[in-house]
Amino acid sequence: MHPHMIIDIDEAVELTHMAEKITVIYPTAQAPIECLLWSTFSLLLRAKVKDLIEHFMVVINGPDKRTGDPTNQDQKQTFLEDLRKLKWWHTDEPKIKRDMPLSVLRVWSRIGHPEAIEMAIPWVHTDAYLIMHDDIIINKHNWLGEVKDKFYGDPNVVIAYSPVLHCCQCDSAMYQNKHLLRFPHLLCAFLVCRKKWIRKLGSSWCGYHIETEPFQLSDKVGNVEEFFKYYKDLGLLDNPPQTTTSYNYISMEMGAWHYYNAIQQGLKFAQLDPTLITHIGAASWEIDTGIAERIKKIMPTVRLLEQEIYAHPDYGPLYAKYVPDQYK
Amino acid sequence: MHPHMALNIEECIDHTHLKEKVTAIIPTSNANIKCLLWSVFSLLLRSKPNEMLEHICVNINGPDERTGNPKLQDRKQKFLEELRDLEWFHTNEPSDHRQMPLTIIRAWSRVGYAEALEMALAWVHTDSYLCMHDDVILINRNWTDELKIKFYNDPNVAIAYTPKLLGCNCDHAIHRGMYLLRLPQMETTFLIAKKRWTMKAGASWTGYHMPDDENFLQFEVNELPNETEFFKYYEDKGLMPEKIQTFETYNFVRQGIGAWLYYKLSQLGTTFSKLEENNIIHFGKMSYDEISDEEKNEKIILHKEEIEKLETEIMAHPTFSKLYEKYMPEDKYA
Repeated sequence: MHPHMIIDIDEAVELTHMAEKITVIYPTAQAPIECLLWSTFSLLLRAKVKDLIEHFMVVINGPDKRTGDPTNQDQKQTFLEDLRKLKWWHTDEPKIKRDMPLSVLRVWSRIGHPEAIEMAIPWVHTDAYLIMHDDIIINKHNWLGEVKDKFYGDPNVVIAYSPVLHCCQCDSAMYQNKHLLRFPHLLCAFLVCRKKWIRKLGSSWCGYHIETEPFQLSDKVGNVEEFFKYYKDLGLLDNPPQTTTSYNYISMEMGAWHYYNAIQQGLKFAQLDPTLITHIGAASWEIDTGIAERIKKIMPTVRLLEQEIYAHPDYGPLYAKYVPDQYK
Repeated sequence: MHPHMALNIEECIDHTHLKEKVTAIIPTSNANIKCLLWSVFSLLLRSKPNEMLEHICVNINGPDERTGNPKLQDRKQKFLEELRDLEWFHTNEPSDHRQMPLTIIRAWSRVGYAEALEMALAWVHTDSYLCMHDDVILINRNWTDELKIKFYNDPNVAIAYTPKLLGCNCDHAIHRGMYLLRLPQMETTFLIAKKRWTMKAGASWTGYHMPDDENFLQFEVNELPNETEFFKYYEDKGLMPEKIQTFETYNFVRQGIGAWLYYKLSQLGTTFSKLEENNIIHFGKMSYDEISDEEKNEKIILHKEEIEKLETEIMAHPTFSKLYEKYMPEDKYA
C-alpha cells in the first residue's frame, strides 16, 4: 500500500484497466492512404476477433486549410468512418463478430508522431497498448501467441518490440555543421507497452531536439568516464560521443526518457520475432526518400494481404473504394 | 545537468517551450454550445492578441453515430472551424492582430474530461497551460497581469488557480452502500500549470475510481504501512478537518482528477497560488446529463448581467458578432 495515496499508481492502473487486453494506437499524418489501408486490414485480418486486441485508435494529425491541404487526412477520416460501421469478423469464423472496436481521434493544425500517440493514451482502458506505425504490415496470423508468452508471461517486461528496440545509441553527429549529442531512443514501429509500468515511470513518449549554448560533455554530465561506462554497460556505446569540441545540440527523441526511466527501474524489454512485420519506413516524410521504390519491393507482401482482404465480403469493397487505382 | 541524460526533464522543457506564454485548453463534450461560445469569446476579447495567451486548444469529445448523437459536437466543430478562419483582434486596437491561434482536437466514441484535457498536453509548446472549463466566462481583462505576479514571478509556483484548488479533502463517503476513501483531487475550472513542473512530477491529470467492476478491493486503515504517518500527512496540510472512519472496511478508493499530480507536486515542494475569484464566473456542471435543462438555465440566468456585458463586446466586433449570431441558439435563456 502507498503510505499517502493508499493505492500506488501501478496498482491504480491494474484496478481500473482490463487485464491481458491490448489497445492498438497508430497515428497517421501525410503518408499515402494505402499504407493506412494495409496496416489496418493486416491488423483486423491477422488478429483474432476475440483475443488480446480489445480496441484500436487511429490518430489523424495534419494541417487545417490555412496551414496546408487536409484532403489526405479527410479521406483517411472518411475511410475510418466507413470502417467503423462494419463488424469485425473473419470469413473462416463468421459467427465470431464484434462491433468495430475503433476510436477515431483527430487533431488539425498539428503534426507529430509521439504527440499523436500521447493523445490516445489517456483513453486506453486496457492494461497494455500497442504503438504501431501506419506504414507497417503485420505478416503473421499467430503473433498474439508470442505476445502472450514473451510479454504477458513476464510481469517485469515493460515493452515488447519488433524488429529492433533502438533507433540510435549514445553517440554524436553533425547537425547544421555543429555537434549534436544523441541519446538512445526507441523505434516505435511496433511496440507493446504495459500501461502500469509506463505510468509508473512518469515520463512521456515526446522527444526533445534542443539547441543550447555551446557546452562540453563534462559540463552537462559531470563525470564523463561514468557517463561512458553507463552506456557501455548497456551495449549502447559503439561509437562514443566526441569529447574534444563543444556541442550545440542535444537530441532525445521519441521514447528516450521512457527507455532511461525503465532501465533505472530495472524493467525489461522483450524482442518479438523481427519478421512479424514488414515496415515500409519514412512513409510520412515530406521529402521523397524513395517510398515508391520501397513499396514496389514489398508488393508481394501487399498482394498476399490483398488476397485476404478481397476474400472478405465487407472489407474487400471498402478496400477497393479507397485504394488508389495504381494498385488495382 | 544530468549524469546520464545531460539535461533534466524540466531543463528540456525550458529549452524547447515558449517562455512566459500560455496555451489555453478547453475540453467540451455535451454542454450546450452557448457555453462554449461564451467561454471562447470571453477568452479572445479579454486577453490581448499578442501578449501572454499564445494558443488555444479546444478538445471536442463525445459519441459517434453508433453510440449516440454527435450533432452537438459536429456543430461545435463547425463553429471552431469558422472561428479558425478569422483574425484575432480587438476593435479598440485593430492593428494588434494575429491569425486565430486555435487547434481543434476531436475524439469520437469517447467521453471524459481529464482524458480530453490530457489529449492536448503533448501539443502544448508554451511553458504553461491553462485548463479552463467550457462553462466559464472570463471576466477580468487584467488576468494576465495577476498571472505575471502570482505565477511567473515565483519559479516555485507550479499551479495558479481560481476559484479553488481542491475538489475534496482526504475524507470518506458511502458508495454503493460501502465505504469509499477519497483523496484530495484538483478543481480544473480555471487553473494554470507550469509544464516543467508537471512533467517533473511525472503524473497525469487522469483520475482513478477503484476498483472497476472487474476487480475487487478491500482494506482497513490499520493495514497502511504507517497509520500515524498517513493521518499526520493530511492533517499537517489541513486536508483532513474530520478524521476518516477507521472502524470499518473500505471497498473503494477515489483518486480523482489531478490527485496524483497534486500529491507529486506537493512532494516536490512546489507551491500553489490563488488568483482572484472574480476573474471568472463558472456556471458549473453544464455537461452533466443528470442535471435538467431547467436547472442549468437557472444557473445561467444568475449571471445574466455578465453575459449581457460580454455580448455587448461580442456584438461590437465586426467578425466575432456574425459568428456568435450564427451559432447562438435562438433562446439562450431557455
